[in-house]
Amino acid sequence: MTVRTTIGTRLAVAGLAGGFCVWAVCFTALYAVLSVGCAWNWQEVSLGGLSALRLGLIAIWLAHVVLLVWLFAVLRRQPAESASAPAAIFLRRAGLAATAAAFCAILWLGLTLHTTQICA
Amino acid sequence: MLAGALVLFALVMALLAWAFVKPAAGSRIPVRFWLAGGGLVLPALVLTPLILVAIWSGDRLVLHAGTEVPLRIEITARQWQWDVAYPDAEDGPRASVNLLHIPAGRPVELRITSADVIHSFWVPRLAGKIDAIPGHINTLRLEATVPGIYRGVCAEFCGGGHAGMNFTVEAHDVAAYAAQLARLADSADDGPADTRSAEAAP
Amino acid sequence: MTDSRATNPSPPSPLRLHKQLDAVWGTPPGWGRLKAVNHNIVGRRFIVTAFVFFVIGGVLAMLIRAQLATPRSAFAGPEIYNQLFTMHGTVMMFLFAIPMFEGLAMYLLPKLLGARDMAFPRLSAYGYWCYLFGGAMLIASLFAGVAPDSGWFMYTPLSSRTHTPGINADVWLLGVTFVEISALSAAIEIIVTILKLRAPGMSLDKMPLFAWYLLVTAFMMLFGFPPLILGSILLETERAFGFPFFDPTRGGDPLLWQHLFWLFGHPEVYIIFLPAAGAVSTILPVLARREIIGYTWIVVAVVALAFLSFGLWVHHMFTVGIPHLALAFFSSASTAVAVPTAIQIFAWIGTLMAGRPQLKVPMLYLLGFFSVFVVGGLTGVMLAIVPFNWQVHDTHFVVAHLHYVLVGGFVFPMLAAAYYWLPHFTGRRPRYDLGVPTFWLIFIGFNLTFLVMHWTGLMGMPRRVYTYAPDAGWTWLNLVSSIGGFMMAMGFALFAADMFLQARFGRRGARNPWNAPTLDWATPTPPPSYNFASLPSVADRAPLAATPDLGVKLAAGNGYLGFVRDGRLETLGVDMVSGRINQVIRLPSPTLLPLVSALATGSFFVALLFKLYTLAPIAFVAAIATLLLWTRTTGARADSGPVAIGHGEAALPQSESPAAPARQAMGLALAADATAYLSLVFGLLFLWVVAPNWPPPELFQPGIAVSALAILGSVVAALAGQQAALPGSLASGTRREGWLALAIAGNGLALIAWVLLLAAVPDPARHGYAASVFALLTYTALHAAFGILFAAYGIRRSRSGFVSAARALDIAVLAPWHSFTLALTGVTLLLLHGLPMAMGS
Repeated sequence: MTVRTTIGTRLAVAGLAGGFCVWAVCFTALYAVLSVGCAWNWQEVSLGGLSALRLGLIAIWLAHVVLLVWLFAVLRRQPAESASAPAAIFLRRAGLAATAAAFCAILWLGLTLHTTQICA
Repeated sequence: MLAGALVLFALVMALLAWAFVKPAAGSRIPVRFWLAGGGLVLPALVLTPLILVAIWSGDRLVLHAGTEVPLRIEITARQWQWDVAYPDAEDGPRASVNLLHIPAGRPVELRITSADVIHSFWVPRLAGKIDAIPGHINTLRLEATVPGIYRGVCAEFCGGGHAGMNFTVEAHDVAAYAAQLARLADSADDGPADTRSAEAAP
Repeated sequence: MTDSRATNPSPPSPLRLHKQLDAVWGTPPGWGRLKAVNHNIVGRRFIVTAFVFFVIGGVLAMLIRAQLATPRSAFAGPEIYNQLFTMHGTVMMFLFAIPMFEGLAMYLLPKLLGARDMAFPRLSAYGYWCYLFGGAMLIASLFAGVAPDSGWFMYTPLSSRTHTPGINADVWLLGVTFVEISALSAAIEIIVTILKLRAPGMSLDKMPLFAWYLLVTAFMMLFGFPPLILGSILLETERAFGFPFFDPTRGGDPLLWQHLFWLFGHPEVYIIFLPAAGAVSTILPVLARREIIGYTWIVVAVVALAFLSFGLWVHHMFTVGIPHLALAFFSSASTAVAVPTAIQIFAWIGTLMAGRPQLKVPMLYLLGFFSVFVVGGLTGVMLAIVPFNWQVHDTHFVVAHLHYVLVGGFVFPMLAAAYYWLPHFTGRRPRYDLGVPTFWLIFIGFNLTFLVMHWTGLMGMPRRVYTYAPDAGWTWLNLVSSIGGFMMAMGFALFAADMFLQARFGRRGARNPWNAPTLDWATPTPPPSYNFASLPSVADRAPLAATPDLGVKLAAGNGYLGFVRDGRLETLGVDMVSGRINQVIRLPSPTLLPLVSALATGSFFVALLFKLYTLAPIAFVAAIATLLLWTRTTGARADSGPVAIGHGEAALPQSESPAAPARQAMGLALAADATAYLSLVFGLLFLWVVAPNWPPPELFQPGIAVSALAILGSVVAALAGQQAALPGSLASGTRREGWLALAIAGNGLALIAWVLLLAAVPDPARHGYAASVFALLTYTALHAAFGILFAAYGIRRSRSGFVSAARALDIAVLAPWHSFTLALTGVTLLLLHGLPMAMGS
């Protein structure tokens, strides 16, 4: 009984907060790398026509997008047996919705990455 | 934005009024209509164009795109006045206090800092505001399209004299600008000839 | 679920049961009231005190409007005016909004959840006293004419020693930090109460929405307040000892303060809004006579809002010269918060549309909330747009916006809540003769004041100017605002009168006048000290709709724990997710200790305020010592095994349960602690990247041997702490005490290493780098010192017979401390060694 409860709690946390934690880490990483990059002029290093800083930002963003897709898939694959109790059904549904919402938020964040200037 | 906001506000108020005028009017409307329609689709339709336009126009404002290297002017804010320096003036550096001379019809780059606390440089009719922060130099590009007098204020609370920390921008046509600079003293400290502080503090 | 089973063998009559319960749960009269820890009393005290502060803040607002009513007014000079607006903002934010919702939460939560009290009643009382004393400190400074005057967000360098040489800024930094103790303790308490002290059967999906809102809010407080507290400590250190964290001439940066402040400040807005939205989600369906639509949607929206709200702090800093792309990130999050907000708004609208709403007074205030808050939300989206923000930032447009959000999003729902729950507080029937004119006065007055203020701002009037010229063109707009402001003030005066009259002279009424479905209306009204004579078992989200006479049944002792055992205060603890019973929680009796501890804490803050630096450490030790005294009456000296809880069921007492509330509370406290520490780390890294006058003149190279000693000590302490809490060690007194002694030794070694390192740091007053390094070392050293104290406390508890293999709580609750200290040790040393290398390259 204790074991099942622990899994239930973990699932609840992963579902409700996990997706947005990924968003938060992505957000923080983008802001931090941008600030550091601008301070040390990484935007002037060119890699295949794009500045190294912009490429780095896009890479960070893509990695988190992939991470979120993976998290969503894991939550979706949760076995049906744990979804027998109403609480588990609720948590599964809310968890998927929260992860999907975090996915939208991260896409929304990505919209900003094509500004013409990075450090101005 | 104002029109859009008014439409959205009217929509919400109309729905609320309807709920009281015709009770249970919406009992057959599926839950999803409200949550997905009002909560997701509506904001997405409104916000997506808004943020794209915002980023695009913000970019343009930052760059003042498509102009040659602009004229540089240095501004130092202090409690409670604005010191202006013109390092690129033709006959050597010039200075003025609480009065900023700029040429009309070309972008100017202001390099703004502070000597004590945080102030904020704001000429409402010419540009958005930018803070004057000790230890940092912020740049603001602005352009007065026509000659004239523009009022400016300190927008960040900076202590007892905050309310009176006003200044004036005078935009001159190019010829008059050079003449005006020549008439300025070469340092703000030497009893400048031109310290008409706009709206001196009461 | 288990109602069909046999009840207690011989339930006493409801009246006898009440007398028995009240004898142990009640608070003694007279001076005994100072001992109150009961949530009914402490919650009410919070609410009444917050309202008093609201009145003070309101009077300050009236003085502001009196000054601005006419151009060139001679009513108040800048010295006074700057104190007025600073204190108005500070009082409303820290002394009214947060404590008001804390009070409402304390009063309502146990009732909504079907429990007898909050998880840590003495902590509630301690928080209340800290709030009262801290608030009194701030107000006293106002009367002494030395109130804070640098604006409620205290931007440095204006608030630094050079530019605010007096005591004013110290009052703010110390007073607010003192008050924040109550916010942090309330956050921990609210989370643990919601997760553990629910009625049996109330699984997460059956929890009232209000509890979800408060749960999320409390988590936001847990992570939102530490940056502010840390920032305040750093700024106070700069003011008192010249450590230049924010001084650009010595490697500090005023922008660091702005980041730390708004990292708290923006979530703060949602911390204020969410509980009010929870009240809306509770009241609105009742008056619409329909269950709220989209329960799951709302829960997800609230969680999303909580996270997103931590990603928009920089939108208060759009004009400080940060790269446009970074602004775009924050603009993105700032616009995204509109989505979860819209989901809630449309869930409420959909509920109203599907139901048959009644236009009673609480509903009137809810409609006021809708119209005002939606305007605030829409101008909020405008402000999230960077170019627009550059224009209107720091103008009266922002003042108008924030009042639409905060008054619309908090005050109107709280007024609705006041009218809705007043019958619960008083047991009297609601009356509306005054409620309706009050509403119109407040509503019209509010809109007169702040609607026109949007234009005042768009026409270029900056914030915080004490006067303006007659030709500025703002004269009549300001006059209208002032007239509206006084109208609103009359409305609030009428509201206070109405509340008083109803509470005093209203006619007695039956319980549940609204036919509400939630458990709060299952208690008698006014509620007895113990809430429920026996605890309900819950099978769906609307327990009172399913069983309208539930309250009577509970009063008759038909639920769980419908008896008094050995004069103990008992309530049930459940599994976080499923709501299955897993422990019997014993709560403390009324005691003076919270007051004593708060007085000691207050002496500490007052000593710092008046720069009595010899007295301060004494007061600090006294505060810690009195806090440790609290544990003398908790715990058990013998194993009891499962105890009967009624319905033929039994559960472990919390001292023997692995799910004891205190263990979760420790985890949460460490999370807040980690947030403060990370804010400090952020500060150091931020200064390194952004601040002028770097690199520092002298780098600090910590010695390898000393560093190794710190690591060794911390590892030993962490391992020993873990070992002591293992079942094998717990069984034997000598073994568990041996491990704890080893933990003391480990922490002692580490402490020696930290002190040696501290002695080697270059003068911290010379550069922001040295100051940050000094702060990091002090922070870690303090953890080692507390590690010694906690391990010694464990030994003492073990010697006094409170620990056995079954009663692991006292040892297990403190084990994570040592592991946490080890983590701090690692990060601190990594930074100390890594940074000079990175700067050297």
